[in-house]
Amino acid sequence: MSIKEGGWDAGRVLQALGRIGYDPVSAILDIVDNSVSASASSVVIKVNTESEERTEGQRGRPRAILKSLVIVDNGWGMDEKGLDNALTLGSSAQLYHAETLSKFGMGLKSAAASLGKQLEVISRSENDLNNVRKVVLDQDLIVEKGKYVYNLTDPTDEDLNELDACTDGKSGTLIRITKLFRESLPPTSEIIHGLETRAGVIYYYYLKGMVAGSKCLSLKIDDYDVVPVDPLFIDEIDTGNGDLDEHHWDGLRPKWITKPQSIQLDSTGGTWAQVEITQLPHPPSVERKDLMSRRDCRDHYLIEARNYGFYIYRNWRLISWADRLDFVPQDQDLYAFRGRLLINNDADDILNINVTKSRVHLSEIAQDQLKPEIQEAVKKSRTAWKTAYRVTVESLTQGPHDTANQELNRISLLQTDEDKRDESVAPAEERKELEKRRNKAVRTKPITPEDKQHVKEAGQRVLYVDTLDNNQLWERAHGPEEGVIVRVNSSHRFCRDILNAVSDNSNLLKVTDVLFYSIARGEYDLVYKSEKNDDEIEEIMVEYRERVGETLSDVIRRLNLTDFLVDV
Amino acid sequence: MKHSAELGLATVFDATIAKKNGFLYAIYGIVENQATLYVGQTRGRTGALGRLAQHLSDGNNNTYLQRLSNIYFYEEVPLEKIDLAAIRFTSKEIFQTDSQEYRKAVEHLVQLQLLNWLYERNLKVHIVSQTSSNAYGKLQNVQEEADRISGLLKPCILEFHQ
Repeated sequence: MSIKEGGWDAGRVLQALGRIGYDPVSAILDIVDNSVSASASSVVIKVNTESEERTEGQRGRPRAILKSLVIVDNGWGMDEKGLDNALTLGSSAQLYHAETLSKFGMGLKSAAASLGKQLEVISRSENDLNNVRKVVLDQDLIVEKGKYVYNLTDPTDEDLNELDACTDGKSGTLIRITKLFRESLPPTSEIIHGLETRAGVIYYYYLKGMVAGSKCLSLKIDDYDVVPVDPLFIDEIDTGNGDLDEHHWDGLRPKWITKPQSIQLDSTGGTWAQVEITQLPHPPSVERKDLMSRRDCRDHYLIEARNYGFYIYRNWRLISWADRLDFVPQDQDLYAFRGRLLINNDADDILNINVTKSRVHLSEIAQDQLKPEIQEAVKKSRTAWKTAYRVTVESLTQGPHDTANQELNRISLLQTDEDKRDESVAPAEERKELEKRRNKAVRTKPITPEDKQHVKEAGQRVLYVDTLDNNQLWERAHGPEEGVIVRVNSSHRFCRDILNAVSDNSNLLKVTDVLFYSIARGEYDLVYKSEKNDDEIEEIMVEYRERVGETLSDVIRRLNLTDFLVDV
Repeated sequence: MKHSAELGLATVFDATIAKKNGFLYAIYGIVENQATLYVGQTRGRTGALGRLAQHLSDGNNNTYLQRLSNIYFYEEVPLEKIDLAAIRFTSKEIFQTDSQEYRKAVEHLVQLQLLNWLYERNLKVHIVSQTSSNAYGKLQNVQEEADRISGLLKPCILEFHQ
């Protein structure tokens, strides 16, 4: 057996590297990663344009077209060895620190190759401040020579001036990409807009100075100072009352769905991620309260179709924007759902990070851990959105619960009246017994002052309350004047998993209200009108409600709701 | 030092562990040098000990063994040693009824707290149980119970892991 060295075409490989899936913004920011890894506190991105060359007889004004892209930083810079390493395909990992943003040592070359044919690197190392070195990697030269070659040359005055504008004569690096692929690149304004809107989110932790061992980063795109943007808007969550109560949310402020939580990513228990999930405000509710316009709210919180899901940060740098991770379905009611996964490079192999560091694939263990948490969070987010919508819209119009309650209130008053009449014509002995049983039934389950108010003001007979004892789904209550009402446990799985899933079906909601009311009314009639011992009936009814509550929970737990209810 | 199992030694020091009571338990086990933890709850007639027996049996309810088998691809799980810590729920009615919902809410919160704690302590123990949250997790008494139980479990797990 003999070992033979395989051939490769450097020009074609470099071209192929430029086609591994970069968009211009992610390519430019991948180069910025090197600046951040080199401990830069200041990075400037310049998108340079020039006037289009005009051919004779061409009409119209000349357009501004892309001339070059420049990224200059005041990091520790590179000496000759460092430059050689930087231009090596698959540069050595030994020169990276533990929490580097690099992965395969391909970023600079492949990102530059996706933007243009020529890459210039001009650098002054902190170990050798007297020398500035320049290397030029040119695809045309590589094709001509048939080899992976680059030029070591002297920097021009323009190079030095441009470098020193950022480094002030100290260490730093300037990357310039020229011979741009103008035909395939989007318009300049689009690139700049993309950089401005994404960089603040991507480098949020660095721009805020929250990364241990790293300097607070200042990033400029031409003259624009990039401001840090937390896509979860955690700073706006109330510290006291920040947890999302999806059934009573007014939609006005961001809330926690899942506070920072550690999860395990592999079966050794040694690789971790942190997950956190928030709910952003509901723009129509914010507008209704005159806090800001719907549009301003959407702009401020980045609420739109492409922005909901998980933001995955690797070593505190965003690598995946609004990833739905197969667990967050496409749904307009989830536009305010924001999650974050924080991982470090220990998780690279488990999460299958690709060369552009923009896609991750969750391990089975990670999916196992995340799935129930995310599904629950999605449910909460959707319910909260609907709650806010209901509060906003139904305050202007009548909702299904209002309609049901109005009818039930009317019927309840009639029923109470009929009971009184029946009682009044009963034989004296029986009348006395009925009166005694009625008073006892009412006393045993009194209504609260709040319930009273709901009945008085809105004729509410079916009240959805936060929780009931021992996982009961419903319980009845009475007022001497108000008659029977029924409280329904919003925390029960039947409400959370079933009713919420069908909450768009107003007829079904009305029917359910009728059913709850009738069950409570029937129970009251049993205690009041039966000839059996009323204390025993009450005891049995309590146990019955608890058993029904648990049985129903158990059935729902065992149901595969995703298949059982379409569009859950 | 040999594992207690190798020595043929099994110890139980609480006489009520096999009684019908609400228990939150943690099974710490080692399979081929990998430390694992399973968090569960029960209110079966035979208490936490009875539930442990099910977990380690060949029957359908051996969820712990099933999880190990699924995660580490074993046909027969080579468990080297196990430890059990079982904490009785307080006598509050919600934890001692037939309804599992409150105990399940505590179980989930305890698992989350243990995950955060293992991460902070940098302990390589893989939690293999699957829990899920429910609405009762927001109740103060449920949260307090989860705090109490995880506070009691942590030193036990540290001891098992030494």
